[in-house]
Amino acid sequence: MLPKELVAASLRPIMLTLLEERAMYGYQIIQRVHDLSDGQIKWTASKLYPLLHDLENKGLVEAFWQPSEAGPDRKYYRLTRVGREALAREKRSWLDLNAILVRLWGPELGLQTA
Amino acid sequence: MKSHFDLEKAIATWRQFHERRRMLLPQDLNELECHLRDHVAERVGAGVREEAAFEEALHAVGDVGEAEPEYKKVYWGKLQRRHAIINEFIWRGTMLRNYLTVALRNLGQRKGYTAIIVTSLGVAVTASLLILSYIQHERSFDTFHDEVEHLYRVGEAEEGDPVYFRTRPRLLPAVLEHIPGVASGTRTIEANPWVSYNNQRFEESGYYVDDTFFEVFSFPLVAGDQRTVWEPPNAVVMSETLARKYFAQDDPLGKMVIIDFQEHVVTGVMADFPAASTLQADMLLPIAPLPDRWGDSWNWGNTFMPMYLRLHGEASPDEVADQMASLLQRNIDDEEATSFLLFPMRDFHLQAAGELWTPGVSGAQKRLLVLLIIGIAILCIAAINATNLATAQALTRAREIGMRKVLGAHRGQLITQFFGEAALLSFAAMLLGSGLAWVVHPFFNEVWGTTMTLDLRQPSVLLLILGIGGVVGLLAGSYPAFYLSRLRPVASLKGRLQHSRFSVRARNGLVVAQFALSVMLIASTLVMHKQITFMKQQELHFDDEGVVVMPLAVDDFEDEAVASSRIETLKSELLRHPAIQAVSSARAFPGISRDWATDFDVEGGAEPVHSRWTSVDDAYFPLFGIDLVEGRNFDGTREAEVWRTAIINETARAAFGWETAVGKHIDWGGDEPFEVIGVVDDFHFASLEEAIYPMVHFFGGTTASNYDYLAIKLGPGDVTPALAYIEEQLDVLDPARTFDYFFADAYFNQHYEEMERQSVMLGFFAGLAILIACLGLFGLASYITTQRRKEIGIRKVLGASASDVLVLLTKNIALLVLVAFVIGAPLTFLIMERWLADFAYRMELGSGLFLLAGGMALLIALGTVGYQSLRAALADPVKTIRYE
Repeated sequence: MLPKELVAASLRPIMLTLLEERAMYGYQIIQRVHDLSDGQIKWTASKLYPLLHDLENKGLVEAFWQPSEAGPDRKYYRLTRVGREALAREKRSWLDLNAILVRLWGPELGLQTA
Repeated sequence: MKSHFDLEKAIATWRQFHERRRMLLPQDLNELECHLRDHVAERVGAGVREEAAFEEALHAVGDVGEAEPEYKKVYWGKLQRRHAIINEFIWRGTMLRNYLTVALRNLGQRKGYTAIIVTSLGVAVTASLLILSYIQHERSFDTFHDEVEHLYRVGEAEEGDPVYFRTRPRLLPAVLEHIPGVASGTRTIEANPWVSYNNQRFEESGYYVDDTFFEVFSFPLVAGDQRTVWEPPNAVVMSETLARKYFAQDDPLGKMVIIDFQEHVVTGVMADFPAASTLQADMLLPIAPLPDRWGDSWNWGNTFMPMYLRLHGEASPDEVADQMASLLQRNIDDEEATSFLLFPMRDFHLQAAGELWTPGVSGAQKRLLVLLIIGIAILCIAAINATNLATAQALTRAREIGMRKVLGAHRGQLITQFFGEAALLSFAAMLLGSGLAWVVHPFFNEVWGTTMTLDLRQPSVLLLILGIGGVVGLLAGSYPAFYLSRLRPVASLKGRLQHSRFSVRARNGLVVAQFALSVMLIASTLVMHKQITFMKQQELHFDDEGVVVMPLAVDDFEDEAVASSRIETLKSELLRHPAIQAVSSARAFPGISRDWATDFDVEGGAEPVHSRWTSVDDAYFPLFGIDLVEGRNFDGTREAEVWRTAIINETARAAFGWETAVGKHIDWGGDEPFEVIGVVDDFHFASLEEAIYPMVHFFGGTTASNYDYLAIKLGPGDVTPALAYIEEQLDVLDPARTFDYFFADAYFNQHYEEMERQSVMLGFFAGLAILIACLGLFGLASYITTQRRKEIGIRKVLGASASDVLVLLTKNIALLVLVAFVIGAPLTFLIMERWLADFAYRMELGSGLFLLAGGMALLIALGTVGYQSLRAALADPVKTIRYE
């Protein structure tokens, strides 16, 4: 399991990335992240939905409803243009951070610095 | 085996729960439901039982309660976007209406409870409003002057003596000239001149003031210009009331009036002085002509006139006082090393008020403190009522709460509900309380002799009402809100809830506190009342029954010779009436104490003795029935005795260190010493708050300037003809003048009026306190008897008599009052001992008064619970046992 703080920090970039690929609903996102991380990242609904709603409020994602097999309509989320720009910035920051860490740890781990 | 689990039902219940909580918007709930369903479907696909899958899914969704703050954060933005805010308000409004409906219904169902809480809180609000308005009124004195913080009254003191708020005539001009820190200043000499206009003559009150008066004080002029009013040397400035009295609707400016035989021109009209002003006068006269008129006494040594200074902002009052002391040293050889004190004007009323001041807490401040404590005590008693009744009700309300919780109310809603009820109760109490205060405050003013106004529209008063009502109401509402809302629904519905030992004990403790406070208030009132009676009943060693006194001084006549002869004629005319037994002229008489005192050198004594003195005529001692214990009375036929002889009292004889006094001499540094010709019994010249001091009486003969008053002794029986005769004779003396006279005994008793007012007030508030405590007790008793109804029925069936039941029910209350007495009585004893210590003549505090107070409290308490208990004791047991 990854530390809680790291999981919390990564929530946003991962979510934006997943939604860039295609529109998804909440349960799908959780499952996808679970699979991607080999079970290392477990998001709960109580963390996920408020963040999704926040992104929606800020206009980074947009939502639409589709009928489901049973029960109420399903709410799908997808990235907006603003969201794409935010994701690009997000990518930049994470890569910058990565570069710093590589520079720090590269020699001892036998990695090539960029 | 077929599973009983129904997924749709389970999801519906889950949904309902969240819908009721209203924390999530419907669409968010939809989203969560989808999530739940997806999870269950996936787990069922993996071969898990539906019920277990649901449990697991619920767990995975997480406690939404935990996520609520997260949801809330994004909630408002969403609301705005979706225009749902209006819906939200409608919902909140509906909920508010529901709270209100339920609260009103609850209160309506418990009419007795509601009435008791509202009445006791309301009465407490009234009491505290009256007390706080009074305190505010007292504290507001003189604060209407501009920059009152730079305004000072000047006092002087010799080492170790109290400060005397009078000073010397020549000081002010020198101060204004030489001390740069002083911006302005004025002297104010009291005057009671006769004013005549259009053949009408009245005695008025006023001050002689410097032309800087209106710079020092902020008394606005409604007519005239404050820069020019003092230009004519014979100016007079009148108050609006006085101007209307003399000139009605005419323009007062420029009118000529005769004041003390001199013509004066009205140059200004000022607004009436506010009630909360230390200075009180209807007219102002220029001080300028006084130095000529007063001659030698207008000097550096005579200390008799009030003086006020206004300093520049940066000046220090202490430095100015020091500069004044050296200024005085430069002008006279001041052996006593007089020091000056600049007393802040805004504190003068509360801390000094009189002519003399010693540092420390003043009587007025003590009085305010006592009132404040009483007010707080009354509020406490009322708050205890509310809390106690709420606790007592916990049992009946517990079921209601259980039911509400089962039906889906969560704690926050219950707390809101209870506070809503408390708020409603305190609102009603505030209305009642302020209404009552508004109705009774004129009566309060009458009894207390104050002029406070209660303007309910004033923001500070409103805030006060809200503060008192709000704090006490919320205090009272917090018990049910926080304790009852926590109850577990199952236990409370099954009725398994019992009053915990602790809550019963706490309730008893609060009742004890209420009654201890009540006993203290009752006992203090009794002690105060008894002390006043004690002083009134003391042998005064003089008899002032049927003695009429009137001010009659040389100032009322053209000159001294005229005054002397006309007063003597009046006296002999008066004596012709059969009902008039004696007539006497004196500087003062018992009850009017004039603080004239000086150091006498006494024969055979090394040190001078400080003693008061006065002057009387030969009729004075016989008229007042004052016994001579040594020597003889003045002889009116011997002109040689005038101002050469003295009669002293026994205390003076002892103070002078003499065995016998007749033939000995005393001297105050005049031409010749005085010969003591007699000693009189120690009569109480002043009220019994003061000890008897050494007193010297000089013989004033027939010289009018030696006297200020005329005393007339009337015989027993109807005094009306004699009074008519006196008025007739006075009319002969001066037809234009209305004479003011009063009965000496009534005047003497005025000394006790202030104390009597205080004791009436204390009694009033003590009565309120016990009334409120009893209201609470009444409510409590009715709950307790209801609760024990069955027990009583069974006891009666098993053979208990009505009186047994009565004892059973009242025993507890009696015990509580007893404990309250044991706590309250010694405390009161200590407090009242300190109060009595200020009196020269005081009663002894016996146990009787306290027993009486305790007995009264017990009787009132028993009377209160008696009705309920009697009803319970006499009830038909068959009915009560059957009752469920």
